Amino acid sequence: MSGKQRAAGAPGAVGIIANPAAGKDVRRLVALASTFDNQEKVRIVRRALAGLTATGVRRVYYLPDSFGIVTRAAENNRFNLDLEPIPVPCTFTASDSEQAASWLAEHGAACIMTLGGDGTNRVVARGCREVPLVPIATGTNNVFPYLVDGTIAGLAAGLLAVGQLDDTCLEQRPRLEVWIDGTLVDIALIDVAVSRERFLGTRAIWDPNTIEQIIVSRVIPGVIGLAAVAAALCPIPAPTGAFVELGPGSVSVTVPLAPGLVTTVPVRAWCPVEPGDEIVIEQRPCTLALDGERELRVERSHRVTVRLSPSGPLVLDPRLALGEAARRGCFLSPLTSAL
Amino acid sequence: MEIPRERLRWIYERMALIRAFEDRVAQEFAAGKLPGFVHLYAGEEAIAVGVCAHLTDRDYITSTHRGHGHCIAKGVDVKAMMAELFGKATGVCKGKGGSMHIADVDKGMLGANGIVGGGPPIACGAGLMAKTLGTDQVAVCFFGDGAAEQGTTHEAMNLAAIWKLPVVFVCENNLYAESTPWTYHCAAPDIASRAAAYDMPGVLVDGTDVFAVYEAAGEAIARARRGEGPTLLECRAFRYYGHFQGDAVSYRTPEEEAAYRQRDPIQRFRQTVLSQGLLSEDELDAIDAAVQHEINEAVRFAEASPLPPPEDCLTDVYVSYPAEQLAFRH
Amino acid sequence: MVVATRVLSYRQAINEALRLEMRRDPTVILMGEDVAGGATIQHIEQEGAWGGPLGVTKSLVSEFGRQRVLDTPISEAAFIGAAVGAAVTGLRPVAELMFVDFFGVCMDQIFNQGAKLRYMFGGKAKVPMVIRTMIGAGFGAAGQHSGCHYAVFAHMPGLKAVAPATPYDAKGLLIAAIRDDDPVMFFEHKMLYDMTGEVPEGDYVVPIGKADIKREGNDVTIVAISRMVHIALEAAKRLSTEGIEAEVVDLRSLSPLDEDAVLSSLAKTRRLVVVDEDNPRCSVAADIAALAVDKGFDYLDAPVKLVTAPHTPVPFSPSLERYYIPTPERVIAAVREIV
Repeated sequence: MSGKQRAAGAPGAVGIIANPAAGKDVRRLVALASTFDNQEKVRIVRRALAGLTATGVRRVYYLPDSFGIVTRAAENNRFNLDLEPIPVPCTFTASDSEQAASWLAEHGAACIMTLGGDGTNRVVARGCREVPLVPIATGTNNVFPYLVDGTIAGLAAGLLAVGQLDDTCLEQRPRLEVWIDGTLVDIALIDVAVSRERFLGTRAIWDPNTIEQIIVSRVIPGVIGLAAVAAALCPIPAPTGAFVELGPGSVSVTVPLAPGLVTTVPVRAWCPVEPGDEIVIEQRPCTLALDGERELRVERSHRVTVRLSPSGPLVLDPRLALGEAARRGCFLSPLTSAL
Repeated sequence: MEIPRERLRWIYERMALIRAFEDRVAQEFAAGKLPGFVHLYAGEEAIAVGVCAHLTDRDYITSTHRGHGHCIAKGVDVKAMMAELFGKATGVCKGKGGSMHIADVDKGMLGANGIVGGGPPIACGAGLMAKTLGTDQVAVCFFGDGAAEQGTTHEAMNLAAIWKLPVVFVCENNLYAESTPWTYHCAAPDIASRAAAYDMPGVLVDGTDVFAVYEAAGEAIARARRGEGPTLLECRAFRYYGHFQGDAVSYRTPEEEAAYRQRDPIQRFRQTVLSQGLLSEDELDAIDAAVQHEINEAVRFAEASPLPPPEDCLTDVYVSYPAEQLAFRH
Repeated sequence: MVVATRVLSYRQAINEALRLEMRRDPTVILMGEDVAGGATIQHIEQEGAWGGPLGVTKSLVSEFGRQRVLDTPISEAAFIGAAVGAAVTGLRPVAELMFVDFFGVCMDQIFNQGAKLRYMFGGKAKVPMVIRTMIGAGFGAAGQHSGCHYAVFAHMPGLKAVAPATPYDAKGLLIAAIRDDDPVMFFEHKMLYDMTGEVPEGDYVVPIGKADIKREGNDVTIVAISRMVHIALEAAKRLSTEGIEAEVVDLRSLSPLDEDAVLSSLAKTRRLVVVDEDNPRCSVAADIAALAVDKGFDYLDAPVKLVTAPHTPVPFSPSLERYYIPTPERVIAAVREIV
């Protein structure tokens, strides 16, 4: 089937991007992060498919990863769904997820269920445009996605896809944009860190001594990762972000920098960041960590700014969505009869 | 993660040496100069080098049938290696081991291994030695995705975990066990996560990025040296050649192989160090030239070396044994 | 110097050999299933539980601690292989393969790794390890706990194999095996553990590769292995009443083989019977017969007779098991055929 045909028949379709690499990075070794094995991801997707099926969703597009998370979850298609792989080349890198999200946006998917942590959702958000995300936490740092059962996420995504819920249920999250020499090169959903690390290496970031500055998109209490530094300093409600400069100076805060890794971080200065604000990164060369992972190497000659944008991805909170669906009486009869 | 300049040079030199060695072995094998089988490591250099950069001669490694890269990363003499592959008396194993059993215990290299899954228990033994004698030595067990399905691998991971042995299990997942894709041979195609079953950290690492391997292995080896027990690293990479030389590699597409080359570990290293001005192009080219020279010399040495005298067949079986009982009867 | 002796059981003699060698050499360790027993169970942590299933290693843990007397999981491949790795890197491990019949689950580590490393490495490695293992029928333990199977190991280059028949030999051979720089298979017959005999105090060595004349005689040579030595001696005693004086050669070592001892006895008696509890096909008995025919043909005045187990697994029922094991009567019958 060609892409164009799909575009015609796509309304009501749900995309699934399950990152097989999520939840396995070096923070199992340098911190005490959980291992999210792929069998568990298969089980989560299986429950999500059950939820989607119950709402009447017929068509599911999925990122065909080398593990076959979604095909295994479908168990010879016991759910009788129209399951179609998203036709992107499998490169075993993060770009697979981004390409898949772009394809789903182009082909009119109603929403995208993601399985991963902040890193996975960042990559999906680079490609998904206006398509809402239903993010299920299976990563290391899970500030962005929801720790929710696949069944609930599947029901919520399904109700949105079949039209029982609408855009009023969605929340637009902020994002941090990284501009180099006037070009938007990347985004982060939760935080950008300026690191002295020379190499991207294992990508994860866990040593506060290597970090110069942190910019967070929103100050959220009770999170793990660099965003926890801002949360410990600035108990201000969303949607304000924050800028934090690390180093000996005014105060120190004790924060969970990674799962099981509670450490004291010296803070030189900090201030709130409003949507639209731009922060110029003076420290160069440096490495920028986006949502906890070293991603960009910045040279001395580059002009780098980070801008807090209110126009990040649209997100559906599964629990709020099911509450709204209940108010609308969606569950008073078999879900599929509403179609 | 800071890597001193000399270490960066060493990393590049070792990776380049492995690549040059394997490419040359492929040629010499095709020319019919090498007996037996060879399994080439090209494409996976970042794993052996990134790991062994943290080891000394006193540390041990166990290897696989694809063991040349591990030998070179562990500092085994390349001339003696080449001579071994030629079956010569000057070989590192006196022509008795060949490619599949190439070893040098003086360098802590406990052997390539013709048995898939043969190495993990032996690595536990080296770790047990260190623990028993109270040294800070570690043992690294390299194994492939194929060996991930062997009982010995699981038994060894469990043993290392219950005894908190200083062993680091490094799975080199090159996506194919011979011609069988790991997505077929692995019920839950996810090797790093298996560590959870043995209460040890399991980490997925980009095995085409020597900096990623170096950093993860450094943490795992430091943990082992501190007596905190084993770690499993799953390093994903690609082998450029077939399972063995002569394999037509019909199970992979040209597109797939081209995609591998996009992530070539040596090119990636070059780009990183050049873009950051850590090493110069001239410097890297000089290393390449030196490596080529070393390989040429190794082949010259191997070709000029004599075959072992036939009766050497009868030596090195035991430390002591009645000689007449080793010989054939008539 | 007069060395004091006292009566010890075969079991005690083995225990004493281990104890003396562990005192003498800190690199000697024991490992195996329940060799101490009861690991981590607090009230017996110091003294251990079983000390091996038949108590052979009893109380060694209380002297040497759990660091040197290691209970293993039931993972023969892992711990036999670990013994290989430990031996090649500097220890002198004594691993216990509880019953020789279990070799199937760890044979690769024994014969492809332990036995061949030195050769494949061009002589650079040595593998000073001992595998103690129980052999033999008579316990009603049936098919998977009663075999001898030492021929399998004697067949393999790189391994040495010894099978003591008396407490004296057990102690001396085990000390020799531990001090030996090659991997040695040490076969203990389970029906001999309670057998007693004079054993010197202190350490002494019974050299590997040396047979022992357990009874002198001029009329027939009976070569026997392990428990069969006692069957042969019983047969010889009865034959003596008929005026037939048998010489009983206890082989003790199966690899290397004391060919001179066999041939010189044969030169004297000119008749040969071999008694072997192992299965007959490609057995040590067959090897001895081949030796006699090859190198002792001119001495022979009669065909070589083999008294062995049948070519069957070891049966369970007492009547069947009695039938399986060679008896003095069968040895006497064989001798009568050729004398």
